[in-house]
Amino acid sequence: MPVLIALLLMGADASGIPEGFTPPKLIETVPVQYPAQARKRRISGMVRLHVLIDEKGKVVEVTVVKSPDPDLARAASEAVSKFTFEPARIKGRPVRVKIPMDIPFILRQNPRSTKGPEGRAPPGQDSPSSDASPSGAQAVRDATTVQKAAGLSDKNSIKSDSYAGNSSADASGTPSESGDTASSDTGTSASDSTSPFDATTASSDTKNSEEQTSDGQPEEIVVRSSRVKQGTTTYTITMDDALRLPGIQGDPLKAVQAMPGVARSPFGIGMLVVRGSSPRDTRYYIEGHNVPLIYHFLALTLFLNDNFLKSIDFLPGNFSPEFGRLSGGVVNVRLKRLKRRKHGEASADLWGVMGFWQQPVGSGVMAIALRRSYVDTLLRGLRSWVGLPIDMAPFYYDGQIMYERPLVGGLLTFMGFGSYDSLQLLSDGSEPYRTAFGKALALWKRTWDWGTVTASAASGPVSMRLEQEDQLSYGFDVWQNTMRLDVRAGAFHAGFDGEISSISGWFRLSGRGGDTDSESDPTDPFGNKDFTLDSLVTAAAIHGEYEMRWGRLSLVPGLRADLYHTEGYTLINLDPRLRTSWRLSQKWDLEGGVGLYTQEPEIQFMQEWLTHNQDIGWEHSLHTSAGIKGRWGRRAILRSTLFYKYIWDIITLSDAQADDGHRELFKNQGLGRAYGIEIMGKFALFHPNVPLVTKTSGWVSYTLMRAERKEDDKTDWHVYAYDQTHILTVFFTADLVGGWSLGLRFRYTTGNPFSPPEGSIYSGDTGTYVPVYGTERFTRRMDPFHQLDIRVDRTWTFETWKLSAYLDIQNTYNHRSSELVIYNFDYSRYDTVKGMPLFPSVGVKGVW
Amino acid sequence: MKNIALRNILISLVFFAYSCSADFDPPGKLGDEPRIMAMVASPPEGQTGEHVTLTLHLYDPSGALKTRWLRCIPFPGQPVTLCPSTYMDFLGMQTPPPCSPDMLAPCVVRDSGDASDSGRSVDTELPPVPEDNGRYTVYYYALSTAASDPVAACTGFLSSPPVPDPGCMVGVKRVIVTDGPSNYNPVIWSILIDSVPSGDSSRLLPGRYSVSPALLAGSLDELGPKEPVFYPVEWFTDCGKMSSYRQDMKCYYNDSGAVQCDFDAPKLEIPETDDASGERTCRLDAVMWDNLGGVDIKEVLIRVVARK
Repeated sequence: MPVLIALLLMGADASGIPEGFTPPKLIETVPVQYPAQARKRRISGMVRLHVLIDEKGKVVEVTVVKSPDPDLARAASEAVSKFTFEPARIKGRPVRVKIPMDIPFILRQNPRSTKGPEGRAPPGQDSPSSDASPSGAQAVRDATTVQKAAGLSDKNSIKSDSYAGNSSADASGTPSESGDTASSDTGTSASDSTSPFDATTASSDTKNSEEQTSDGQPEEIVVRSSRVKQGTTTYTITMDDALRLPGIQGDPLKAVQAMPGVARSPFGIGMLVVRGSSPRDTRYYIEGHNVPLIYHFLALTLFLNDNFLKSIDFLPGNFSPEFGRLSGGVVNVRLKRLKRRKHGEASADLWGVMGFWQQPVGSGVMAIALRRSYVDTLLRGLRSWVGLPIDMAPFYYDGQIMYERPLVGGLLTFMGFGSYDSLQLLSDGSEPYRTAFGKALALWKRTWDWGTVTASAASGPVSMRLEQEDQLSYGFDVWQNTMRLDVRAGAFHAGFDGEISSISGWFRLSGRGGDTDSESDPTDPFGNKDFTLDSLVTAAAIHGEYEMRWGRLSLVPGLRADLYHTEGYTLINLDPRLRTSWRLSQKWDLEGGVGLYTQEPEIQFMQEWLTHNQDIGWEHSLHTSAGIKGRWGRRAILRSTLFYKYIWDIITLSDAQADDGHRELFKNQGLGRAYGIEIMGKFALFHPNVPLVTKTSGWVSYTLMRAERKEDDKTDWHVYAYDQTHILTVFFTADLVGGWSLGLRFRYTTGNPFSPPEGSIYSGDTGTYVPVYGTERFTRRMDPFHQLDIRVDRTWTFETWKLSAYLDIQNTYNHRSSELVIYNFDYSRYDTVKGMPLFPSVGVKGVW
Repeated sequence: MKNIALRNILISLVFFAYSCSADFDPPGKLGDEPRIMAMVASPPEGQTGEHVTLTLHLYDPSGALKTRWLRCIPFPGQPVTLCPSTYMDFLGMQTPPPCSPDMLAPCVVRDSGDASDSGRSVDTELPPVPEDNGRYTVYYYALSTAASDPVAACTGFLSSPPVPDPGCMVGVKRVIVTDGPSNYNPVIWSILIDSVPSGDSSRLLPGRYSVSPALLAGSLDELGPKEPVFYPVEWFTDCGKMSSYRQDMKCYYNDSGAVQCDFDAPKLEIPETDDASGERTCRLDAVMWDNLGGVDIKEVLIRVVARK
């Protein structure tokens, strides 16, 4: 009986592949003609076909599985039926196979006819990244593209991610440009994604290998493209719709703050408290390279232009060994692959102006973006003209440049980016606070038949300074060099990452007189202070994991080995990790993970003159999670995750006596734990028969959790400073006719706990009071936070460009939430600082 | 470090950017509640065997407070007892980093204090240096309460860990015992009201006056020829409202070699008097700290007379 192998592309099960199987290879294609009628009616979209290829490599049957239009289906079928393949083989014997194939039909945005036949924007025209080609036929550019689109090359490439990058449809059913939606590294099977926020599973997409045998039909083996994912739970934020979410001012990274498991930070200043971890335990990465700064001052905005971003992966825990030296969560920004066309953008909002330009250069593409704030000018005006008591004004600018070109069979991406922030005192124009950041990133990626290799390196300085006139100087200079090598071959993923960084920091108090003896004693309250540190940090790690399958069960054991060295301290660690999934049905998956996650101390704790403790070492945590995910096509996703995290060896203050007779100021002795349940539901629906509304989408994120800490043996367990029992975020967006859209965001979180001092002691040396706390900590909470934001967008499309504008009203019912607790001079009374009042914001953007 | 630094700085700056000020009474407003205004050690540093006078300047409208002094000596190797500062390290975000070392000294008590030291002012002999390092710190605690036995009433403060007792005010003053040259207290010789040195019974009409301390220049012993030194000055008054209750005075040697102090003098707003006699007496206190433990307090009485 001949074997019919159906390669379902966006899945991920390799276990159904017969031993010795070689998939068909595309040898010859013919151009896919864009039907004139369809083009005239501005119909675009993805046509999905099932193609039966016989033992001679000839297409013998083409079945249309899905198509936005009969003409497109016909054109695709006609063209594909003329394709020629090298037949699939099992142990060298040619076999018949059925493969799925997606043929994208993409139109250039035509301002005069963006509406479909019924006056609505058809699927595909929502995409801002439609192809520049005048002919939709270029959607299938060459045999390679088709081959990749079909997930074809050989067994390994099927198991790898070669297809996922081209299954270019988000959950809304909105096809977008194939190159840009390629998500070969995100761990996201794009066709499974639910725009704008995708949730993927370590191996929930590895799913079934359903062996079907029908009467008189060849045995059919379902093979899904496979890859090792990055985390048990990965939330991927894609750009297109994220940029229109209310309340985030077009900053997609802020959407991460509304993800399950993320506690809300005061004033939304960008700290991420993930599953009860300290904010410093969660790190930001760009293509796997740590960036210490990613927001401008006060988290006003991300410093990267969104045109460079493909997606943002948020991994709250149980992530793959490719990420290490951290015990909280991961936010990994993915860069977009540039298209070979000219493209420009200019935008302005309350904070500043931004410009972006890209165009082909030589064999590659170059893009550049610049931004400069003018909110300082605005605040100066409010101070001068209106008389508002504004004392400070933030000022920032940033720039990015990217060049992309083919190199040695792969793709080389070079990116340079930098930013500068200052806080200006309006009274005298001085800048007591300044940060500067720059980085160059080179990334080369090549896909072979057997897998993919990604090599990258990044280098750049970070500088921060806080200076008060002649009294206080505080800051650091870091030059961070990082490198990564990742190899993905089927179910195997391994890699190396390393870091060589120089860190210098200082803390100086001057103008206090005193003798020099006290300058280096942190416990001496008198006199000037002059603490400096200069450290060279070297770190290296190897990691690997392998996905094993038994039917519907997938196990992904992994291991990460870290070596960290700085003067006086050499730390070595092994972190074993395991992730698993079980496909219950076509709709439901179980998933889980357990693993160790380890983080080095912050550099100031590895200075013996400060800690008087040479045994300072790693901080450890155990991540466990178990969840279920349900999917209803591209319309909805529901997932729920139980998690428990235990943290030990947290560095806390110590009063023990060190061997050298000094007080041991810091020690690995603190404990932490966090547990709870996260629920996330998302939907995206088209409404062809509903008046005025073309599409609705939204999501609900809810977390019920508790996070606790125990500093040392003398203290009891108490709630963590950022513990929030309930965290709820609801987003809803409706696309309306005429270029309008309406978005809502509602948030509710339990107030942060705090510890009102039970008294205070007057310090006769300074005239200030020192709070004295009771034995029970965090006994009270601030009022709950809740807020409703509304955003209205309008897009006008012209011949060669588009103009969009938005009005974003934050805190529409003006609930002044408590953000921070403040005390009177002797801590006998307290009050809370209220958050932002109703705040309207406007912005415009032109795209051409 | 960078993460912690950034976080703390951001929070601090957000705090100020939002101009968060609650409706608290300013620290220098003297009303019905008792208040510690200053603790002065004279001299603030000394050698072993030298006598030091400690004075608690207390605003005590009821006149009912009693004070008892205790002494703690951090001494490595001794058991930790009775020393509240040991337990003040849970400062977390409440105290900005530059200030946190203030109470973080290793506090191991060798001598829990002399219970006979009582009253607002005590004379004490500096104990021997426990280690041959030439310099150490002695902590003097003043317990003030309306109870007859301040030590008994304030046992919560002295327990481990300390639990503040209601109605018990505790202040701590450090005295450096050193073999080297000693610091001494700055001296405020007068308070200038609209640039005029005030007497003990200055007569003022209701209105708005600038006030500033007049210093004895030679008393600024930590002032060097190069760097300016910043001296905190705090004001207490029941006369009215001050535009600022605490600010720094920047002192330095000017080009002519004289000591010059720049000070943004706060304004004292004296309201009309409600007294039937058309005159009342109020007080204005200026407290100044140097950065080596030196303190001085100057009080003037002001007779406020009604406008005709």
